[in-house]
Amino acid sequence: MPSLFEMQAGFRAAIAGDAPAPLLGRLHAPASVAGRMEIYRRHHRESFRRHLRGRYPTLEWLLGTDRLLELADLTLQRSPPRAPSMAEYGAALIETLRSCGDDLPPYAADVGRMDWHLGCLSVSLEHQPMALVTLAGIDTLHLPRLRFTLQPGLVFIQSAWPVDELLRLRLQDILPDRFTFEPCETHLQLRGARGAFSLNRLEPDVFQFRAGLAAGCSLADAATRGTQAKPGFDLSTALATLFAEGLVIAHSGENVDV
Amino acid sequence: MTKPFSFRQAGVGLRLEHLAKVLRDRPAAAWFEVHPENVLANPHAAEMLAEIAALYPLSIHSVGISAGSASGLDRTHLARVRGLVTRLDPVLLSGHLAWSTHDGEYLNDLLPLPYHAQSLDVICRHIAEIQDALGMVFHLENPSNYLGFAESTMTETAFLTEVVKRTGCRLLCDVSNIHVSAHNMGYDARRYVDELPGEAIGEFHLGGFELETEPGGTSVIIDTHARPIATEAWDLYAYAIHRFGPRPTLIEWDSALPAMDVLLAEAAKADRIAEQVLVDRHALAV
Ligand SMILES: [Fe+2]
Repeated sequence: MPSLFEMQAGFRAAIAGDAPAPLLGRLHAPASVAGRMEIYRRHHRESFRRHLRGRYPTLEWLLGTDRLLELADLTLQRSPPRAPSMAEYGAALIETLRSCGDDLPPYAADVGRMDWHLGCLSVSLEHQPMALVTLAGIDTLHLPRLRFTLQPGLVFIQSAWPVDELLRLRLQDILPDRFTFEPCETHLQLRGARGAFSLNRLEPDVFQFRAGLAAGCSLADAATRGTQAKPGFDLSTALATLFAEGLVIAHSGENVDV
Repeated sequence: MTKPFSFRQAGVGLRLEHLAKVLRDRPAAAWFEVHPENVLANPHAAEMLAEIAALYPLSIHSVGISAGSASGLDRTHLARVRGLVTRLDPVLLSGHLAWSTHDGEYLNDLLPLPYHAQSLDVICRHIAEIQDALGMVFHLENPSNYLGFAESTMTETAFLTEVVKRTGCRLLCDVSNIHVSAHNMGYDARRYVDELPGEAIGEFHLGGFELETEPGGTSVIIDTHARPIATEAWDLYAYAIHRFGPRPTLIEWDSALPAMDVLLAEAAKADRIAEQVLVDRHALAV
């Protein structure tokens, strides 16, 4: 008799991979055992397909349902979920797009990234923003070392294609007769909370500054990233706008000794 | 249990689509059941659920705890469920006689177990750990079966009885699952009910299912939770109430979700049936 672990390994293979014949001999039903196993196989395949379709609506609109489902099946084979919280599963499809997308548009992975992050941030929360005046009490010597915590529902995506235009087309549900889609360096800020989201294009310097802060850079390092993107980067305006938009929720680093 | 919990009225499954509406409309539901796996990675839903928890008794029904996994419990998941239990202060806790995870891979289904000494040891060990970690009595639910194992040495009801004996857990008797399994495996549903340890039953479930014709001309019932409860399940529910008396009863509906009013109408029907059975039983006794 196989151990319970071996039996479950065989069952897993039968529903998520190629059914090994020995397991079928150990199962019984008053009907075709293979037919009954197919119920589990179908549920496994369809439930993940349904989930991934829900997470990548723009990609499905762009590539068609059949192609998206092929990519979903491949993702499930290569990177099955490791946790029972389905909302966390599906980012691996972006890697599938990157690695096997020879026949896909060059912007497919960026559209996938946009879909994935919009889904995540629309269920996040927006916290009480910090006012810029809060920084008034901090010694100016310490300002360069400050680090900011930004709203959790905030993501920055840089793409060589204006992928946000595809999202707008999908949401408007209008297919124009003719649509020219040309490469164009695009810097997107995605923001969302409690079921809603917004998507804005940023100037490259502001994008680098904000993305740097979001990645945990100090104020000085984020400002350097802004200046590298555009020599005329204006830190004080960028900082004021950041706070005015309510994007900062906490700060740290003013007490760290040099 | 700190909240007043009137189990004389049936509750309904609460899904993400209904959270905002429940907060806004405050429907006359007696209690709700929630799947922790739906909200663990959804801070907005968790926030709404915390508000709902202040208004209604909640039951936590884990669909991913995988108590029957030979590869062990996912302790990270268990810790996250504990966090939710602390936050929501539920009145009931339940999960399935099944497994969903193998060697770290989550299969998103409630998969069947053979019923023998080894699986009994595994599930008892895990239920004891779940009860310790969550500080609550676990209600173990009978599954919907589509096939059985040659290795099984005991019936499902004998297995459940033994788990109760060893762990002190209680049973969640899913009446619809009994009908589904009895049809699919060719046994008598009422006899299955008769064999259950009635005093251990702490909750009933009722859910919708669908009949499919199989290639050989036989039929199989799929436990879809996507339809109203069928007459056969209502009849079996009446039989179980007649036998065991009333228990907290929950209407499950997961896909093709209708308006909350439809769910509440199903709950009201469960209440009427339970009441009628008790009236009849009382009349017989006098
Ligand atoms: Fe159930």
